[in-house]
Amino acid sequence: MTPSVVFWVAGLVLALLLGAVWLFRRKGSAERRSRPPELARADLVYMEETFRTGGPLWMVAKVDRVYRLPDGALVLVELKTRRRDRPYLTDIIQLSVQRLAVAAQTGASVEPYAFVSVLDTAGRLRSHRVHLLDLNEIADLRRRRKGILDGQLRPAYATSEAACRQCALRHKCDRPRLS
Amino acid sequence: MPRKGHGRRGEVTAKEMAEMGFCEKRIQLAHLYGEQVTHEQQKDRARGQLAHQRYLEDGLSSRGDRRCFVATCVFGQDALETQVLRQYRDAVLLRCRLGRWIVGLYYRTSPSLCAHLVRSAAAMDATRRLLRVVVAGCLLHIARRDEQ
Repeated sequence: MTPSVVFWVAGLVLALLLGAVWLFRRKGSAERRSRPPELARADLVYMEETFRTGGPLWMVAKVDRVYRLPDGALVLVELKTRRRDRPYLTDIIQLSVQRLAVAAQTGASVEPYAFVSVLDTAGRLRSHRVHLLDLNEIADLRRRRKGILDGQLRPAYATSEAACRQCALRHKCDRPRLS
Repeated sequence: MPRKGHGRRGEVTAKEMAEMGFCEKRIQLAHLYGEQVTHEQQKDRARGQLAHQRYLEDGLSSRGDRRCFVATCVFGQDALETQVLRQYRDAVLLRCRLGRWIVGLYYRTSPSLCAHLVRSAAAMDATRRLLRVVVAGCLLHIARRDEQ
């Protein structure tokens, strides 16, 4: 075997190795695969961290993941495990509170949208982009909650009666037409 | 038993706030009689906790592999110098357009720079010395901003 053949074989092996490394990197880690496509170029900066708004709202939120976009703005991602592949109003409120807390504590700009990543029972993960509530809407909701707990405001019932069938407190509930 | 807030100084958690989007009556009843969950909900919560644990582990292993930030690479993840640079990035650079552009450029170039640094002890030492000067400058700038 001549030296030039050895050189070419070694070069081919190296090229194949580099190709394998490139393919592996392209496929990426589980974290990369779980990202919404819009965050492909973002950096994961916070995981399972607690943030506080401070006064006057006094709210605390634990984030699942926070990504930083190339322009520096932060984007929140919340993981949910459920049978139905869709985001709910509860997700939007939770992420809106997280947004206020992260912005208040870090001073960073947090995008007014976020992602709800839904993991279904079959193990499929799909991300949904949601628009978040603003400071005034959350402050109103905070006041309303306090009013309900203080007995000053009449609480609303769940919009769907189907939700009531799964509620552990339904035997104490005075909702009309509840079977 | 009435439910109390989980946070300090009567703070409300994001999860407690989120319940407002489901059923306000349930919040009132849970406040009066205490939180109650069905067997099915307990199973769902356990499944959720497991999924969150895996989600966190995926994120941690991904972040551990990257080593793309020069300060983290040179000083370590939780070093004082790294924290100062992070604070400077969040409090100063990310608040102006030019700063955000610089941060974006840094994020794009730092992985390859780190890859070179870990191969050369001399380059790592030189970068460490240089970064200490930068950290001192950042501290001074932050202190002046706080004074104003």
